[in-house]
Amino acid sequence: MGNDLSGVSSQPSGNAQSSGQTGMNGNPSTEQPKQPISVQLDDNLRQLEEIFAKNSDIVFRRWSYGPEMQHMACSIYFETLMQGEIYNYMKASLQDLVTHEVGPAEDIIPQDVISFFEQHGVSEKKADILVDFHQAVEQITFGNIVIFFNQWNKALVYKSMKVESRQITEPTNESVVQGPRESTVENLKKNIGLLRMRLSTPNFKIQSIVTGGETHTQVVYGYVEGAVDSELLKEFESRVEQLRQMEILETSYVEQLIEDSTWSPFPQHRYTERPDVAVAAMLEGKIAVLVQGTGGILLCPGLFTEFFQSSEDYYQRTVYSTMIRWLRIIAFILALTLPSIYIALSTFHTELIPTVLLLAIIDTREGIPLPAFFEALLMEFFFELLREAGVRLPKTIGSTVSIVGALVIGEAAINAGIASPIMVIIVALTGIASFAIPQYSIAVALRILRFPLMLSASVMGGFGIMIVFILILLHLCKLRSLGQPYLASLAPFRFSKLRDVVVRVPLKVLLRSLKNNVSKANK
Amino acid sequence: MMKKGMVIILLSAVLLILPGCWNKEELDESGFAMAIALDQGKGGVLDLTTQIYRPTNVKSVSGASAKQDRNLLIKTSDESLFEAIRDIPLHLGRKAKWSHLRIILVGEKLAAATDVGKLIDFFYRDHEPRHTVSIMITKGRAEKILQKTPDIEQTIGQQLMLTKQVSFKSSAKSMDTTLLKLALQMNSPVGDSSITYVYEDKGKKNILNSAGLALLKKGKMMGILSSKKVEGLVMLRNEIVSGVIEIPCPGKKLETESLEILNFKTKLKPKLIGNKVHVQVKSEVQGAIGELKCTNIKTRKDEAEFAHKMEEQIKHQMFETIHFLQKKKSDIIGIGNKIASAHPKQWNKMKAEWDEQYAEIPFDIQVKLQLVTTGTVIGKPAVSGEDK
Repeated sequence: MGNDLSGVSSQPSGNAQSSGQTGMNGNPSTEQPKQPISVQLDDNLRQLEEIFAKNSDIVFRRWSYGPEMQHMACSIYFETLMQGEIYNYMKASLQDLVTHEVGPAEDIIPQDVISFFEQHGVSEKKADILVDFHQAVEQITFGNIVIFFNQWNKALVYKSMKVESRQITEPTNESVVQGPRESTVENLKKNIGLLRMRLSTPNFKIQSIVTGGETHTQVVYGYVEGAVDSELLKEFESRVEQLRQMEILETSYVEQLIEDSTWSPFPQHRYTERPDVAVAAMLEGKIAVLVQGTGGILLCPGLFTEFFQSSEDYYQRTVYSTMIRWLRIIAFILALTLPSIYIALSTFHTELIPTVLLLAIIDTREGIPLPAFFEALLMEFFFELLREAGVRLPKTIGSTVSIVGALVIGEAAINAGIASPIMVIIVALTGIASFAIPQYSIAVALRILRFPLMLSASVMGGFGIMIVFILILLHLCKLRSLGQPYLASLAPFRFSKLRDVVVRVPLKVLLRSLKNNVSKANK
Repeated sequence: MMKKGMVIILLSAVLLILPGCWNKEELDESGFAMAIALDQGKGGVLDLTTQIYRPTNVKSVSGASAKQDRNLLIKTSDESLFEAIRDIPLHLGRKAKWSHLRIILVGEKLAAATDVGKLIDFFYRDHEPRHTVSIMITKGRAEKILQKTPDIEQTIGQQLMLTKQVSFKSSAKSMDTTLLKLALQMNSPVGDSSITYVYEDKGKKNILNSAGLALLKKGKMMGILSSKKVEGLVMLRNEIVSGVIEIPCPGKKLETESLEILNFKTKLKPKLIGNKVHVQVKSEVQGAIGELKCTNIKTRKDEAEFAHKMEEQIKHQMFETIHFLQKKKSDIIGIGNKIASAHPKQWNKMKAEWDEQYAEIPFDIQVKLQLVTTGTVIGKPAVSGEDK
């Protein structure tokens, strides 16, 4: 089963480019001029040895065939790229020749080989014919076996790359209580397979681009033809063109190269590890981007309201999902503004706090050496430090850090009189609230924006909070994701589109309109 | 691009410096005043006692002395209220903040000597105190009240305020006077007003009673309305929320029957006949029997009789209040205000001698009582040792 996925055959489709391996049907990724394969085997081999010098894992396997073993051939491959499969392709192809028409192995001459492969080409293992020398080099670096025959100016390539890769397991960052538990892995073919398994329609198009630099990473983008907006697609494709020159290592490289605003703290694309999320997004008209070697799917465009949705919402009951959505919105507001509101209220607007609460706060704040803003800044800094440290810790001392963090920083600071309990509560609440938001990238935005808010609250009080809020709002209104306004359903206000933002309408309503969406576009 | 960056930096520097954060104060730089007491001082100065909340450190947990330490009294004296207030930081070391002031206490002697409204003008003008601050007049010197330790609440100021509110809501023995209400009363066409009265309990020195009203004429205190009569006053003003009416049993000294007032609606109509004022009072009451001691309610007729007895008692209470107020010439029932709003031209003529005329006004009171429930379905004293 494993190798079948690596041999995706080209489908007869109306697209200009076929899915699967590139470089085969007239789409050269490099810009080197075509160089024909020489008829003499030795010339080819000499050149290849020069190109692949100083590589300890390249294998040149020569063998002979024909009457008195006088005809030479050579198969070249990287043995590290085909772990686990030491297959003698030469024998397999020769056996094809034997069993078919040509005759016993001793009698095969190059002419027979040539005519067989060029005209028949049906064999147990799929082989393609290469004309260009640089294509052959490329195919070797892709991990396929290239076989050169003496007296033939073409070469054969067998697709056989197999490197051990991760099994499909549970997603690490997006687990759900109820719902599918498959996550994408690093192998591009497997990922595409996961997607295509769920979207079994010819309208699901996947197009690929081979990027440049030394990595030649394959980047693939997919969409559902009826659902996606053609303007959007055009915009996306024009941005993605520039990827051909770049060296892409990871999905986030793609994200950063095609995004509208690099300096904005808000993410403009959604990132997911789950194929069901990607499929749902594509049905809504989004474009999914996958990169070879990375286990994540990038969904563009990503709009503000979508960052509050998680796939679990749709697998749970309506009322519960609506309540959880409200919780997330409240958590977002809390995570952004709680420290600044505390600072503004306690220093500028004490009359707004109810008296009994105020007296309790005064009790705790008496004797603290720092003013409220610096205290807040200090505790927030500790919390961020703790968070960063926790990410990189090995699992064995991970729990120690949480104990150290809670006890030392929290309790000891209070007992020493450096921080007040109220401040610790607020910082902890803020941290917890930012974890409640399903998408990690927008929680990062909150962490950034919290500090300017605290600064302006300490200088200008409630007025300062209002000013920074207005600035943030202005920025959000101006922000675009792939040409679409970032606050799409909120501003411009479309009440009909809001139904999936604040409440989660029952699926009967959602699905009916999706069907209309797709079928309308198909007409 | 560079120019744009420089402009942004300059603008943000200006933005941060310009507002000046003029009223930014850390919580431990300000002293929150909970209550304030005004008294007459020697030689005509004003004696000011301010109760500031003293925060207890979380570290030192001392239970017993905690409550006492909570209240810090600062005494200052000066000629005007504002000046005395500005003297507080001299003793305290922190600026006093008035936004959480609970109560203003004015001593009896001071209230009788000066116009109370003018006295507390500061609290109307300053931006910090709220108009929902309660004001009370104390028997004796106001600062003695502040020196008591509160029973339940954290500060005596809070205790007083809550006592007042609750006593109004549950028993109508007192009226809640806030700065706003006082201002409305004093600025009405008839300038008579009333302020809650507070005094120490005769028996136990530490208990405070907040019952009764102090009557003010032209801002100066000139009499006290006892708590019993306040019930009648509240009934006349149609402000009663809940209350109790009692009838003593004939003959027996210690037995009184009581009725709980559930709903009380009064319509007070002053009528001008020529130059004379007649007032017609119509009350509709819904009550529930609280205690039955000597009546036996077996038939509808008995019920009607009982209701009639209660109606008479209500009328009697209202008349007592009216007579007392007429004697004192204090129109806090609000008749003058009603006439002024209904017949302004005639009011202008009557304004000068209103006090005398008020003392002569005949009142016609009609009360209709509806007994809603008797508690249990037994129409006589439910558990009684006597055999009937």
